[in-house]
Amino acid sequence: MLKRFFILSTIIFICYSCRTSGEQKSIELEHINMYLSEKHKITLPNNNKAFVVVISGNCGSCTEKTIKFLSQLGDKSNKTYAGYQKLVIIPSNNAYVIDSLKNSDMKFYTDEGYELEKYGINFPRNMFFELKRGTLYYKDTLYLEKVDTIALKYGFKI
Amino acid sequence: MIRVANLYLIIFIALLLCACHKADKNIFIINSKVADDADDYKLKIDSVSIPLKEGFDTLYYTYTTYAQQNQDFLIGYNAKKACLDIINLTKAKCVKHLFLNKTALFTQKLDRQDLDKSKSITDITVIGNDSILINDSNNRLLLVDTNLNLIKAFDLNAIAKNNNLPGRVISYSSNFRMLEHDNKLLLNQIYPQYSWEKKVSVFSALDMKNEKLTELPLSFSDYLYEITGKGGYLVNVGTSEYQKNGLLTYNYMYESNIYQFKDKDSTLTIYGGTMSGGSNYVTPIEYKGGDDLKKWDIHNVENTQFFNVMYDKFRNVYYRFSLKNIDYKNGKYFNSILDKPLVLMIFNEKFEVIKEITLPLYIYAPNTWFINKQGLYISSANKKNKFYAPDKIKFHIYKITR
Repeated sequence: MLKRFFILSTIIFICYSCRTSGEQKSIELEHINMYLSEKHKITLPNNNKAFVVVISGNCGSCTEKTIKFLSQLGDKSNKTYAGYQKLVIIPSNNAYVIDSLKNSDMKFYTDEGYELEKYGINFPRNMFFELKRGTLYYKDTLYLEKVDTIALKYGFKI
Repeated sequence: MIRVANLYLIIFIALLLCACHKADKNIFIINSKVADDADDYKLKIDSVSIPLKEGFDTLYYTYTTYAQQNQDFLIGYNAKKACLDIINLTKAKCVKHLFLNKTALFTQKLDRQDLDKSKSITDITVIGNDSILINDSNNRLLLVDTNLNLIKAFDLNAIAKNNNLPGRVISYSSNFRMLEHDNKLLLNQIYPQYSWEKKVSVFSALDMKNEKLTELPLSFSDYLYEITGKGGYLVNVGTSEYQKNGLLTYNYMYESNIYQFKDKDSTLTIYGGTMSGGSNYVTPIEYKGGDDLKKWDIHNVENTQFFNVMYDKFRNVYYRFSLKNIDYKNGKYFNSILDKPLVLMIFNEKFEVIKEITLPLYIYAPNTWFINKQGLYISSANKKNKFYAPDKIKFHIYKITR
C-alpha cells in the first residue's frame, strides 16, 4: 500500500515538475504587471504570447547588438512572431533606443518619472522574457554574448 | 517549580537582550561627539540659478571647481556632448564647451550615455592655475591647458606595470577623487584580489615628473577586514579635493569613521562620525558566483552610505553627506536609492558635530556638491525634483556662520 502511494506521489511530482519547467510563476513579471497597470494602464496578456524586454538604466545596457536583435524581433515583415505582443520598458535615460526601433511593431513604455524601482523592477542588465498563455516561458539577461544566444534561439543571426 | 521556570525565563530574556545589544554595537565604529559650542553656529541657505546656454547640462556627476582672479568656476563633464563645460559660478554664467571629440586626444568613442565607465571621463581636477587633469576611463591621465592642448599624457596601465604594482591605480569623481597632495597626485590603488588576511595600501601617490608611484601606509579599515570585504557596492574609499594643508582626510563609504593622515609625522587619527539615527556601518553581504546582482542593489538601499569628507577652508569646518539606510520593501511597493534621506553633517576641526541635518527628500542630487567662498553648493537637480527646470543649473548654497 505504502509502496503504491510512494510510486503514485513520485509520478504526480514528476508530471507537475515537467509542467512547470516551461511555464513558471514569476515574481518579476508580477512586478512588471503592477507597474504597467498602474503607470501605463495596460496589463500583460493573459492568454497570448508576448515578448517583454526591460532595458536597464545601468552600465552598457544598450549595445548595438541588443538594438539589432530587437529590431529583428520587432520587424513587421517577419511573420514568425506576428502573434506575439512585443513590449519594451525603458528608462528615460536610455530612451534613445526608441529612435533606433521606430519602425518596428514593438510597443515602448518609457519610465519618465523614475518609477520602475518603486515597483521592484531594477535589473542590473537588460532582461528578456517570453510569455506563453500569460505565464513565463523563458527569461534571460540580454547582455554581451547572451544576446547572440537569445537571438539564435529565436532564429536570428546578429 | 513555577519559580524556577520564571527564573529561567528571566535569564533567557536577559541573555536575549544582551545578544541584541551586542549585535547592534560595532567595536570598530567610534561614536561622534557634539561640539560644546554647536548652538553658536547658524546655518543660512541661499540659492543660485544659472540660465543654461545651448548644450550645457543641468547636472554634472564628474566635475571639479577652481578659483581664478577672484571668480569661482565649475568644470563639468558633459557626456551627451563629449565635452567639458565651464561655468562661472560668480557671474552665474555658462562660459564655454571644451569638445573632447574634436581633439586628436580622443580617438576612442566616449559613451554618450555615460553608463559605460570604460568609455568615459571618470574624474577631473585642476592642477596649478591653468591646467586640467582628465582621467580618461582610468586608462590614462591627460594634462591639458584650457584650450585642450596636451601638456602631458600618463598611461595608467604602463605606470602600474613599471612600478611593479599587482593591481592598478584609478580615480572616480564620485568617491576616490584624484587630488594633488604633498606635490604628488593621489590615486586609488586597487587589486585583482584581496586576501583580507594581510592589509594592503589603497592609496598611491604619483610623482608626475618621473611617474614613480609611492604607496601610502593607508589601507581599508579594520571593520572591512573583519567582514572580509563583504561590503557589497559600498567598498569604496572617499577622498575629496577640499583638504586642509598638511592633512589628508578620507573615509570609507561603508562606515561612519573619519580618518586623518598627517604628512609631517605619518600619524593616522580616527574620528567618530556617527549619525544620530540610522546605521553607521554596512552589514556584510555574501556573494556567490551566479547570485542575482539585485541582491547587491537591495543591500545598497538597506545600508547607509557615507560620502567623502570636505574641508571648508573659508569657515574651518568639515562637511560630510550620507544616505541613510531604509527598508527595501515599502508596503506593496519598493524603495530605491532615490528614496534614501540625505543627511548633512558639519564638523569642527576636531570633528565634533556642529550640525546634523536631514535634508528634504527628492530635492538634491547626491554627489554633486562643492565648496567655494560662498559656501557649500548642492545641486538641486534630483531626478524626482518637482521644481526641476531643464533650462537652468541650480544649486542651494549652505552657509554656516558663527
